[in-house]
Amino acid sequence: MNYHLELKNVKKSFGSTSIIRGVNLNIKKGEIHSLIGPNGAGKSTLYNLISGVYKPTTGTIKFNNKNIENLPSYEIYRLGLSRSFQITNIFPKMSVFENIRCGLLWSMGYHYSTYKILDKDKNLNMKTNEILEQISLSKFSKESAGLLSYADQRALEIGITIAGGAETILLDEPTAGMSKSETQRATKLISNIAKNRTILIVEHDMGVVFDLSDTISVLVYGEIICSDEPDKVKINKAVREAYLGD
Amino acid sequence: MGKEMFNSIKLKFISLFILILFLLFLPYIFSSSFALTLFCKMGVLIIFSVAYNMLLGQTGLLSFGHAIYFGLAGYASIHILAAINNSYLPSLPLVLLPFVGAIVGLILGVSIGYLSTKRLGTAFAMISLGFCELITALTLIFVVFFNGEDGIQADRVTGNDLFGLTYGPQSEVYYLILFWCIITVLIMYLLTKTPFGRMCNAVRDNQQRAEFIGYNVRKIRWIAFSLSATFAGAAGSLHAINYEHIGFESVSLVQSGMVLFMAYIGGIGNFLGPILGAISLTYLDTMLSDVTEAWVLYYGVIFVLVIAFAPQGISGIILMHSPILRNNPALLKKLITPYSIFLVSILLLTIGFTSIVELIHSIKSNHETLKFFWLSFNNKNILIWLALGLIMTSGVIASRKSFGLVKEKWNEVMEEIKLSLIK
Ligand SMILES: Nc1ncnc2c1ncn2[C@@H]1O[C@H](COP(=O)(O)OP(=O)(O)OP(=O)(O)O)[C@@H](O)[C@H]1O
Ligand SMILES: [Mg+2]
Repeated sequence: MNYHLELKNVKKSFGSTSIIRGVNLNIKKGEIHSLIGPNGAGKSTLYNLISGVYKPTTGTIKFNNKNIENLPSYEIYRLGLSRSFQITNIFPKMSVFENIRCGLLWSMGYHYSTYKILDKDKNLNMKTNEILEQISLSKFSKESAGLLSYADQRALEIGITIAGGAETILLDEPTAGMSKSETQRATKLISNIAKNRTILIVEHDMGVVFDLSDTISVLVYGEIICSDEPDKVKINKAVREAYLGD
Repeated sequence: MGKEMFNSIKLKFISLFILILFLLFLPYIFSSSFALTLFCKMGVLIIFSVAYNMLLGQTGLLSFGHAIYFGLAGYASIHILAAINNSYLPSLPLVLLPFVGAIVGLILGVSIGYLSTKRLGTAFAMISLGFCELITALTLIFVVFFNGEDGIQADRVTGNDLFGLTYGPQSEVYYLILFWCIITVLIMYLLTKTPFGRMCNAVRDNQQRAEFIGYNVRKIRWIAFSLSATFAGAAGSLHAINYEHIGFESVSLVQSGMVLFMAYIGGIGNFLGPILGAISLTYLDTMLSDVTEAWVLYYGVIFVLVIAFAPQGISGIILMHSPILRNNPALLKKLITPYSIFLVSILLLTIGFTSIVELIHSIKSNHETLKFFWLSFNNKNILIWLALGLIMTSGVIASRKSFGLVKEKWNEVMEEIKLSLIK
């Protein structure tokens, strides 16, 4: 079977410490796949490997049957794989509107153009407003992104991530540090964007994880110890010992 | 909302139109040759500093060597003029010469930019510094092309030019510079509205995020660098035309520092900032260098004070007031008193400081008395020293106190604005 995203024996060391120690991971098209594991297990590092921030020490990463482990981030993005970050990563000095609009530029074919005036493109600005609507930030459209509340900044980051229409989305702890109601709002947003998309999500909130996921993979100390449906992961002995811990 | 936007665009057009009209008649209002020379210099430096800010303010790249593109384009232009003077080259309408400078800037920008945009931050700044020193050294070593410390001269009057212009009178040069200034600044303004321009800001704000919306950030920086050098080159050409001379200082660190000052003091966070900076510093520069030899010192002090206390620059300070103006202009009244007190304290400080500096300077130059406006001081009189010291000290204290007062009132006003916004 051909998987949508396929990691084979991926290893990564920083200096002499190996952080990712032979990960095999398969993501099916259209599923919501959760990646869980204790702090420092290497989840964010794995994201950085998939998205081209780091190159793996060994191993291959295939996206739609194309090897991507040696591509720079922007090319991986152009293939249709977009991501958010654990620590909010937006354009703080630009307006909320501008943040989302920048996320649309590449996919709408603007590339590096030095002569097209953006304010004139009604279609582009309409699409931007649609996404603002979707992430419920329309009313802050003109504010500086850096002035938004934490939860709103997280929503904005998801907006930037999905703006370009990428089919596959990697989310790194999208609800971390949020209140209960904020988490609810974020979860709703995520299941909303998951329609017609493949989602890989790192999450510590087990409620969110078991609610959303089609598949759950458990990463412990740089290795995947289990990758299965939520019900089976729940009763997996190794997982209970290493992570769920009860 | 659509109407509102339309109105604001209309307003922009009208004010631009009035501004251009004003600039067209400027030589009739201030017709002295001194004023004309000043305006010409301002025009050239406006182009240069707006181009520089494309890099610093828009893209977040601090270059210490941007005079390279300005100066070398100037050398190329002077050589072409000289060749035309000597009939080695056929005559060229002078208005086209800045194109040559722009192309020189572009070529240099593309090649030096390729090397230096590989690195960021401190490394980028150091590389630019290195290039600046290198090129300055070259101008002194390759005498054939640069003619060492003397520089090169040429005559901009090359016979009959387009529309019967000769560029003999300075006013014709003024219109030439005005023409180029309007065109280039307009283009650079429109550039900020393009995908490239927006992505420059994105790269400045967060380069990792910029990569993850599909952009090769190095390419953005490289394009920004090249375009910035292109416009700096056009400015360099006009500089050469204006003075009919180019020397090694035009590529040097001094010139690079100058454009950095202008952009910074005007405010790098706003498109208009560098324009304000170029105008005010050129004015100050010309005025001060006529009345005092210590002007470089004052220049430095101003720069340090701006960086320390008003890093947003002149335009930043003005724009800070726009939320008040938008929401509740009446609140501005509250600021008048603290602002006035602060300005008086600063004036006191300035008088104390400059008189002491000038007095010290007068000792060095072996004058017994120093003429300061209509007053004359004797630098051997200890009482005068004490009095000036007192003025300066009280100026310092008053400035600090009133700066606190300004801040306090400002915060109060801001609180009120925020409260009214929540309602
Ligand atoms: N660039 C790096 N250089 C050296 N060590 C690194 C680097 N990046 C990550 N590490 C180390 O790799 C380990 C895994 O980090 P990672 O951020 O991937 O964990 P995580 O599973 O995302 O944890 P958390 O749940 O806290 O986010 C940590 O011990 C971290 O110190
Ligand atoms: Mg992490």
